[in-house]
Amino acid sequence: MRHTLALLVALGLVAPAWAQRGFDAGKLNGAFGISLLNGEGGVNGRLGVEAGYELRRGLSAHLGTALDYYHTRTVPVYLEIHQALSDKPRRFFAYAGGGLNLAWPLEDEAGSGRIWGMVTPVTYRGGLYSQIGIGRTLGRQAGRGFVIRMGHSFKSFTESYTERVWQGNTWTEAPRSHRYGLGRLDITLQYLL
Amino acid sequence: MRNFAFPEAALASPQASYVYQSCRDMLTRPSIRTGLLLAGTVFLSSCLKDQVTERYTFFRPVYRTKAEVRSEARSAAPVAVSNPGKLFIKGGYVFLNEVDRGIHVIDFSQPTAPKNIAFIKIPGCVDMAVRGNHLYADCYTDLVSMDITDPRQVVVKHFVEGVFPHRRFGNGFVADTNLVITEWKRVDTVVRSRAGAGMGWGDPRELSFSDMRAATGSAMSSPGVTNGVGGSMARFGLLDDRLYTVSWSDLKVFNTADPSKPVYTRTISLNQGDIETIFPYRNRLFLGSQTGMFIYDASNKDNPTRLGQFTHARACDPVVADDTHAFVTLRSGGPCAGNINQLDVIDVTSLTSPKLVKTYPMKGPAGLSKDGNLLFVCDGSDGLKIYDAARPDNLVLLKTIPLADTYDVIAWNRIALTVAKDGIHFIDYTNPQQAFVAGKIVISKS
Repeated sequence: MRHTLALLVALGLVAPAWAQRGFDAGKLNGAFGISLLNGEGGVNGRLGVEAGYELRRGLSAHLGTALDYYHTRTVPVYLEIHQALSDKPRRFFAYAGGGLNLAWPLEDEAGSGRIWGMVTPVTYRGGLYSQIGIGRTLGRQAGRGFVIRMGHSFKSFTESYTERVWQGNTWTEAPRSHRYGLGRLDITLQYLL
Repeated sequence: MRNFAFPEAALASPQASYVYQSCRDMLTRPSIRTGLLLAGTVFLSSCLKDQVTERYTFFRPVYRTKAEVRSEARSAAPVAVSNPGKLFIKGGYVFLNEVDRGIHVIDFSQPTAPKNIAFIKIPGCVDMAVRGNHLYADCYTDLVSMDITDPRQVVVKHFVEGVFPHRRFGNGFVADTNLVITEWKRVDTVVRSRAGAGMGWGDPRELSFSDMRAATGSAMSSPGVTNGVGGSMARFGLLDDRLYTVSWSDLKVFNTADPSKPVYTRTISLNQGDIETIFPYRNRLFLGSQTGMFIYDASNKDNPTRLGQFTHARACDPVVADDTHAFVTLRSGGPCAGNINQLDVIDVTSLTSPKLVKTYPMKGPAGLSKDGNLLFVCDGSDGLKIYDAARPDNLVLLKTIPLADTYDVIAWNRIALTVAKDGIHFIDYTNPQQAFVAGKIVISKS
């Protein structure tokens, strides 16, 4: 809920900053990037790609996906809006986006044998993904260049299994699930294509 | 930002124009922008949390006083078998434990039509033995003796208090001397916490019962009073007029010269943990543990002493024996540690140095029984296996009775009473190669 509100506030704040003169609508672009994710549970990384479409000058929509290794490997698929905060070549922009987070755990993450009393293997269900932050274009030549971004990203997913629970002097089996919500400081370096 | 256009009409008033210019000047300064970014980072850092919402089930104990519990030890009308444990035979009756609740009395004088005739309520009962017309059972931490001359109207004779203190529940649920845990209430709960905190030892679900498997053994008894026949999973064993019980690491001796009033005699430390079963034979006690079999000399009835041992890999291991050999099943999986499933045949002609004769691979062996040259082995999902054990180094499989998850068996007088997942089967082995299920008491899941 907090993230939804934050997204709406962010979009409301950046909307008045639209450039007024002319539009370069219809331009396609792409980027791939590497991210450093710093959260409460540690530091990890993300590899991602995005495809963008200029809606009008300074405003673009991007469709992205990534391999996010924080805690458990997942594949976020998201839609993101970028709003330039100036129309200089090297400029700040605000971004906000959200989508789905698909779980794709590594073999040693999949709970095999690491959970005491586990009867069935762990199954995973995806959740939501969102991110928000500020970026800056570091330089652009013939449409290529680098972008650095910093913000907050959030992902959620659920792991479930059946476990053996002691009931006095017998076992009984009961379901157990963990729904994770992981917020990270997200620093990304992207190369624009 | 310098080229940022703003509707000019909004700047008409001097105040609005002043505010706009101030904001613009502020945002165009690098130091201000850096400060805002850092402030944003600090704000964001408060959102850097790994949170987990856990949904799980645990069981909460229900405590009652011992006085209340003891007052419930009595006969009752027969009830359906739902959670069978160990069994014991005396006369034409099977005494079948309903774990933690009591004992079913089943008349199998006609094996083709066994009848569940009574239920003896004994809260906390997981073990038993029958000597003459008296039943001995555990009632949580106490030993109770009952006159079962008429199984439909038993008479409680005596309690020996506090002799099974190992009936404990882990993780802080330790009943004091006046209370027992009689029930477990299921609680489904949702807990929100920081991810990575883990449950560890503070997990209210983690309960362990260290003395869950008990069994009864059979032995000769004094003239005029006969002892019954127990299964190999027993922790209670009768030898002459002594009742021996094993717990995690000790052996207790009770004098039952007066069958109605067992007298606690002594506790012998076994200097060994993981003790699970006892099988009395002649004047020997064969103890099974998760790491080996131990042989005790009970010539001095009140002071058994260790003669020898046979160690094996970690597994659950009930044991039966005859004059020359001991037969030990090793089972892994579930609460049993290790990764082996087999039957070991051990030469015990030298009791001080038993030797392995041969190992037979099995599926998931549990209880076993011997009648003459016939060896009966409960082999988990494979069912009951009947072997010709005339040559222990060359067991010959005569018949497999397919039963689900067989647990324990007593072979006596041409009927093998076998506890399986779906019921208690009465197997006629008059002709072992053509053994068949003559009768059955069904287990009903409550």
